[in-house]
Amino acid sequence: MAEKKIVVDKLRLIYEGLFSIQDLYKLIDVWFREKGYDKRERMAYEKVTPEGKYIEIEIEPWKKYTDYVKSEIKIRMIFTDIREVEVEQEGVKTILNQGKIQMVFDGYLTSDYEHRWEQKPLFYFLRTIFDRYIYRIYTGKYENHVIEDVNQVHNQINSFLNLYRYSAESVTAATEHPYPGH
Amino acid sequence: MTLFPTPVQYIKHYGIFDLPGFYKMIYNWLVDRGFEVQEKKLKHKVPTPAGEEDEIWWSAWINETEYIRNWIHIVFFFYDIKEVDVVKDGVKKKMTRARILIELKGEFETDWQGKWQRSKFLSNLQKFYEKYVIKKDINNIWEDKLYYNMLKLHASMKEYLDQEAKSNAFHDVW
Repeated sequence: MAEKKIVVDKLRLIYEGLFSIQDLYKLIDVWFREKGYDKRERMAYEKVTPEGKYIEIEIEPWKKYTDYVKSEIKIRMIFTDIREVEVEQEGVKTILNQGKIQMVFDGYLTSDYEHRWEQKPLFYFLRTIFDRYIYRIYTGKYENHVIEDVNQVHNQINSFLNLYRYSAESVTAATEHPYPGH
Repeated sequence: MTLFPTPVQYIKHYGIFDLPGFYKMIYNWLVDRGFEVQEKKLKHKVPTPAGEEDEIWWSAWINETEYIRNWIHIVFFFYDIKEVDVVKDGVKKKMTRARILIELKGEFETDWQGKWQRSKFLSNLQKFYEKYVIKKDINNIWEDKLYYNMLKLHASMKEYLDQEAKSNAFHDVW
């Protein structure tokens, strides 16, 4: 088994109010692409409830730093009571979403992901020595990269949501039912 | 032959959608890209008051080269299937309300013709070939190609189901 070290443990983000799910998802997707991460979406769940839509998305993008070390960032997003509302921004009417968001961020540094050093007990022992005492400076550097990336994406989302917080001048429900036909 | 799996992806959904259209979209998506599609298993349970229950296993493959074959395995689980009448744009239409769980799994197969399995020497040569000669191609080309195409299929399914998070910033990769 490759060794997976938790470097960011359950960093949270909670928001309630106006936003656009499609734009938020796009922002995260584009951010990871620009940072050189490979996309991985483990799960996408959506259902309609009387209170609005319930959406759960779990993504786990990864980036290979070297042949030995890679970073993985796990983001679990839960959107509840999501409704469509009509918003007036600078005199222009647009449709946005209103609801609650909960996000949990985890950052991992995975070493020996190609399982090269675990074929023999001696290799395994050497790997541990190598990781803890010889390669320590580099491991520390990579851990900092993961922390930095998690903080950056967290701040980016935070800023994105804050933009919505103060942007709407008037809000009206777009429809009587949150999502017609459901 | 060796099989290299790619990460598994899931889609869960509960709502109203056009079920035959959904199958057709996925089938066409695969066929348009040159895949051969096979329905390996179909399980239909006796309907209960909650609705019908279906389980469908699809496997699709494409021969990328003489040496590499890509596989996409899709497992559909449908629960509580019920037909409902929906009025959309003034037109009455029969649609399906159901809970869905879709499992999307990819793998690519090397030496699918079994040409390197004819002797022990060839078999060892194949291991060497994959480990040292075409290792980068396997990781950077074939695995990526299959995986990013699967992500496109994943995004198309979400779009068909009209899920909110349906964009794919990696749409132009492969």
